[in-house]
Amino acid sequence: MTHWVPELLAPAGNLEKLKVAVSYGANAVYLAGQKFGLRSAADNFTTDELIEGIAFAHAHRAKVFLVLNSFLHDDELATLPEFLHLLEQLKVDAVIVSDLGVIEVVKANCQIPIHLSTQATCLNTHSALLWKAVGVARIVLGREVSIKEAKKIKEVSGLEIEMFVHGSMCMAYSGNCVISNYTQGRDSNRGGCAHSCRFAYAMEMPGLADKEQTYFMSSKDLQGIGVLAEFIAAGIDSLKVEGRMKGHHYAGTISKVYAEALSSYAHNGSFSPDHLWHWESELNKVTHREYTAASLLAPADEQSIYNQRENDQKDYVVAGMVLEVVPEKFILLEVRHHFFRGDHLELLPFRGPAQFMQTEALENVYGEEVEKTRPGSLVKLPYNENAKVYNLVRKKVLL
Amino acid sequence: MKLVTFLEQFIDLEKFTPPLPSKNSLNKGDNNGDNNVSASKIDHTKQEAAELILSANELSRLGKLSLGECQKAAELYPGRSVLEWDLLMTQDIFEKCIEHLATIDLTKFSAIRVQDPGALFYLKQNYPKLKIQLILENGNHNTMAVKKWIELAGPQLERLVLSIELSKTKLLAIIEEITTPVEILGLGRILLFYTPRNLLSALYKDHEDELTIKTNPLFEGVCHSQETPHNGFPLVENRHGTFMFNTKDLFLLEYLNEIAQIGVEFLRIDLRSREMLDLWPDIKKLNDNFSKMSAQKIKKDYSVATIRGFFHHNKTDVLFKKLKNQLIQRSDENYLGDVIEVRKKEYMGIILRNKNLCLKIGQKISIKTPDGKEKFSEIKAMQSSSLESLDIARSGQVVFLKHINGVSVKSALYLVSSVPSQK
Repeated sequence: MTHWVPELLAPAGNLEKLKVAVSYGANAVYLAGQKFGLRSAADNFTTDELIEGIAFAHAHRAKVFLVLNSFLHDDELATLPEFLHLLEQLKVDAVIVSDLGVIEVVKANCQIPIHLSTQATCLNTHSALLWKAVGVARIVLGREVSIKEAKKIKEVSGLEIEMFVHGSMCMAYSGNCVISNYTQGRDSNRGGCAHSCRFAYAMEMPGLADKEQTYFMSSKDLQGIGVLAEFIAAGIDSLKVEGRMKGHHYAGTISKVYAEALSSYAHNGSFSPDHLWHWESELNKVTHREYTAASLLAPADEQSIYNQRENDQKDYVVAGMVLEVVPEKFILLEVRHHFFRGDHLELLPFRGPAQFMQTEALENVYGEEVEKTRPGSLVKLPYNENAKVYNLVRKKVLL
Repeated sequence: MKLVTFLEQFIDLEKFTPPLPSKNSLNKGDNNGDNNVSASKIDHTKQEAAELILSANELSRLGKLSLGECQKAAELYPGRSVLEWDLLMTQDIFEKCIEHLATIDLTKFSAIRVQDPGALFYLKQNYPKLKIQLILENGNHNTMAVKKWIELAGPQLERLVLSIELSKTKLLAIIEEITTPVEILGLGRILLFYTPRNLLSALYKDHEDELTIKTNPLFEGVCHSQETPHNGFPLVENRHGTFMFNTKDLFLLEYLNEIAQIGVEFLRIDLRSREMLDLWPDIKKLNDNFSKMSAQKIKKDYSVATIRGFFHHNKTDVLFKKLKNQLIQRSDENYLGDVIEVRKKEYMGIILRNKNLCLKIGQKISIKTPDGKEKFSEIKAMQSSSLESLDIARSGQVVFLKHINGVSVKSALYLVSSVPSQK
């Protein structure tokens, strides 16, 4: 028996990350073109990359949502229709929009379904009904909304509901923070967020030590693996993972873990505690701040505040990504983090548990023995029949 | 221009003891009494402003009055009075807010101002005769968005509150296209950050007992960035969350004439957080009879540093190009792949990524390096990762070519039709 589960929506900061996320099990990815998105510092997709990425995703039965969630000005709106026509030709599955002007341009120029971005701060049933009247097909709810509230919003509005399940969190209501605008001269709602909420601040408050240094605006990272059953019971349509700026290790691992968890539920109709423990343990292997369930079950309290210097916990690093597999001969690995001959590496297959990887025989492309690899180099590892192109290979960090 | 301001700045709330919460109070901190509002106090504000905004702590981010006080003030005030409902609300909070709304007579107010689209929708459905002022201060930087909001709000809409991030040029462009009157902030704190989480009381966890935290309805302070040169961000935590304001207040009084010429009809003066009520008569006078010198005097008398914000120019997107190395951004035309390994003077490894192009012996290529150089070459030999000689290679393959001096990892490979002479 197959039980219904939500879509898993992963970030795709570039074409390679798209392929990694989809290969590891994401049902959909979101990405940006060169303009109109909110991550100016991300690689983002050229037209040819969009063509290839969409083809790859669709070939793997995954959907592609394109973010147009910047707050645009009139002159930019004028250039949007041409891009929309391209997106429609490329068969993008939806666009993610926060600006009402952009929604109007999308509606006037194409038939692409519109998903309302979390930047639009939709938090309640009445707001959802208004956006429904505007013509959106799906709402990405604000991260302040609980699963219980989301269920009600879905029932009342009849719209598809998407919620964040994992990743970094804005401390402010998304779309309602302009710290970067005034302190860095960069519009945070047009792609220039400087992450000022992660900075250290000295506090002057009665009863506190004078100029006590804090990171009071820094949120812990969201992790919703433990409440997947609640998401499913509420009928939440899509579970979104934050992080277009994050690396391949993150894109692959988060996609793999949540995809496995959802697949497990689809087959069994429940989650076993052992599995949950394993998935949580896997999620701890990617770079992250301390985790919190934030507002998923109850309003986020003081336990959701990170209040520490950015010191991403790294139990594992990505040693490299498989670029080629030559049967019976070798695996060609693009090294992302140095490792030594004899180090214990783990191959992360697209499905199934991580596998120990032999590194006693480590060669460069000309067959010369290598003692220590360096990032930005290629090495050959012994052939492993489970290895596939875009597989990640990770290494435990020795503390 | 008509000045809009807040009742609370005319009342010294500290001098009044809030009554005990009534049995009907829905939340800690509710104050349904009317100790803060009396005819004499309202009289003090008589004719002072074109309109008074009444901020109830149940509905307004920074409101300190109770809803009951707001209603009484609305009854007593001879001019226009507007109830502020500017919270952003998750479903549970929203439901509490509409319970609160049901406890007062909204016909006593000239209008209600909202930001949450849900509040707009709710008022249209449930209070179809109530005039609405719609706050569009976050985003909404294009005319099309503003016009659509006007359409969505319908005939109940009497005013739009636009963003202070709009420059005067953009304000003008929008105002020329609409007939709905527009308000902007002219003087007051600039809200930078709004979260429902309690960020300040959390800092007392190690310092105070739980009771102190729970019974204190308001935390205020200042913070100083340790990583940028910005000092003195005012902070407020109340029942609705935590708010952070800019280190400098917005001061546009020097440009009253320009603002009026643009077509802004209402200017909001927010002195709530500053003990500078004595400036109010001067501001009134300035509005009636503008002079740059008088405006500058008010600015001088204003107790904190001020800025004009983005009124003249907003260039907050010009830095975006610097956020990434444009030299390593891929260009689609004739793109072949990327250099992923280099051994100087020996070889370079290239991954081919373009499904529409292949690499062949005899082809001419250009390589763009991350530091902006462009190198040209002709493919004379190439090998696979198995060290087999190749005549042709396709997307997805890793190939090895002789290293070209100056080429490093992250360089991009392009096909060229001719090889320019290299200097």
